[in-house]
Amino acid sequence: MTGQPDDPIVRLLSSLIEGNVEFIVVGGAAAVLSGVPVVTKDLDIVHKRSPENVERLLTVLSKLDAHFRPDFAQRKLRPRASDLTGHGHLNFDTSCGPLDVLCEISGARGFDELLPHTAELRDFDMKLRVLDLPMLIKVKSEANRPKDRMALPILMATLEERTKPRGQP
Amino acid sequence: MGDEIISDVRAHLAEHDPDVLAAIEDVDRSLIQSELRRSPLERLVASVQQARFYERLAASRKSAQGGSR
Repeated sequence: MTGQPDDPIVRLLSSLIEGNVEFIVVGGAAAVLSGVPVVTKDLDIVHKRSPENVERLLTVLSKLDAHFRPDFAQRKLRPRASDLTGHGHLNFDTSCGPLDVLCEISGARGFDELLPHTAELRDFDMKLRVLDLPMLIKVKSEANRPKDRMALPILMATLEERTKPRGQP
Repeated sequence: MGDEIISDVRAHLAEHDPDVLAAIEDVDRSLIQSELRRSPLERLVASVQQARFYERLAASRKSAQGGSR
């Protein structure tokens, strides 16, 4: 992939794509990719939990030296296939920065349930599947944590701006 | 499908969280328009770099406070 911005998060995404991992970008990164002006520090993904995809994801995670975080005892615990086929949220440190691998998000929604609510983004020869703004808004409103409530106005305003006919102030 | 989801969220907020609904009108739209002029990956890289800057700033302030004690 050529000409793309050089940053660890781009290398993280490239590694997943080049490893043929099927995944959906969710959370703050999905919001930013959709145009929401917020700051995000890590990459959250929901992966397809088929045995083949879990195997591909494990291979990529191994290449990225992924281990669970926080790692207070510095044991560098590596993920296993059984971790990636469950229902939980797995937080990793990798050689390209933090990566959160989520088996499911709010409402027990996994890859297959979220897929109809995604948009495909193409940028710098990279093709990404990203959770769309309406579903992102729904997930945040269901979570109902203070930080999610705070994010709702800017998410909804961005959706309005994106759907506003061109030329309208 | 998206319109239906947003209608439901708006109805829920109108009933349970009207302050959040009202805050949508207070959002500075020029920030959003400026973001939308950049490509998705450029936005992502700018956002994570900003987050790293804030983290470094917070860490340096913390160590400065520790050193002054």
